[in-house]
Amino acid sequence: MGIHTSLETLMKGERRDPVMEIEQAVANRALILRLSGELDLKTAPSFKETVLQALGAARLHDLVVNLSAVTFVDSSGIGVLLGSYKELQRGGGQVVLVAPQPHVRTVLELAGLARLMPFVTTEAEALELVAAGRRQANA
Amino acid sequence: MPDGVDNIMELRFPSLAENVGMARVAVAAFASQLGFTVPEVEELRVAVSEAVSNAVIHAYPDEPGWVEVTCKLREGTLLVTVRDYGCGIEDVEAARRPAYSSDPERMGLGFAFMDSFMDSVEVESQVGKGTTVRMTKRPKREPIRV
Repeated sequence: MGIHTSLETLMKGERRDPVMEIEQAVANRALILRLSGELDLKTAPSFKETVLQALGAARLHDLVVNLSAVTFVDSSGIGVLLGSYKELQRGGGQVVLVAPQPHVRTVLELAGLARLMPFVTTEAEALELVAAGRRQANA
Repeated sequence: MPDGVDNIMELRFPSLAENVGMARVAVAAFASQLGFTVPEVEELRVAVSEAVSNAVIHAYPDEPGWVEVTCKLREGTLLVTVRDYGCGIEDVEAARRPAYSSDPERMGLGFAFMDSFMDSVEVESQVGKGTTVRMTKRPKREPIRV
């Protein structure tokens, strides 16, 4: 069996579910996404799609990403966070990251994300921060 | 077993996104015999993920092809090789610069992470023949011998 035949068979086979779950909530015009699992090349597209769909469907101003249950992130996941940041920044919105695990935080900081988006420990803090940002913008 | 090698593992899989996670789990499991700390294993997982993701995204633009990951243990050092037989990289030096990326979503961070998290990273590529990334990592703390 050549590689093309074997790959074709593989592609037609049942795919495993991506090893990431996303829970959504909206509070005070901020989209809250609670991710769990691994954020990599396989799962980053569904994260991106969720962000785009949710932001497109409602007039949401900010994005709060709860990373406390994320066990792995690489440049594919960081790309989606940066893309979301650019998208929201155009409308004056913010991206706030909540409670990344220490090894995930190391990767995010190495990519320079701490310069662009605040890291906080709770969703409540994140919501206070985006509310303050909006008040400042409207002042 | 090759000369001077204490243990070896070889993986071969199609360049599909779902195999990136499998590769990093397998390499981390192989590395566990070396006494890496948990943060060191996390660094290794990111580096492997980046090297394999590069092969999945860039090596075979038209249809999936094979990716090979080889892990060797030599004198307390882990050697990881990620090889593809795809389109190759025209300018390896440019590809390794942090700002470089042919995929704007990944911001050219792949090689930056590999460089930061591994002790050494070598990239060899030939256009039309493929790319080989060789990385090494050694536990910072000497294992406790009992």
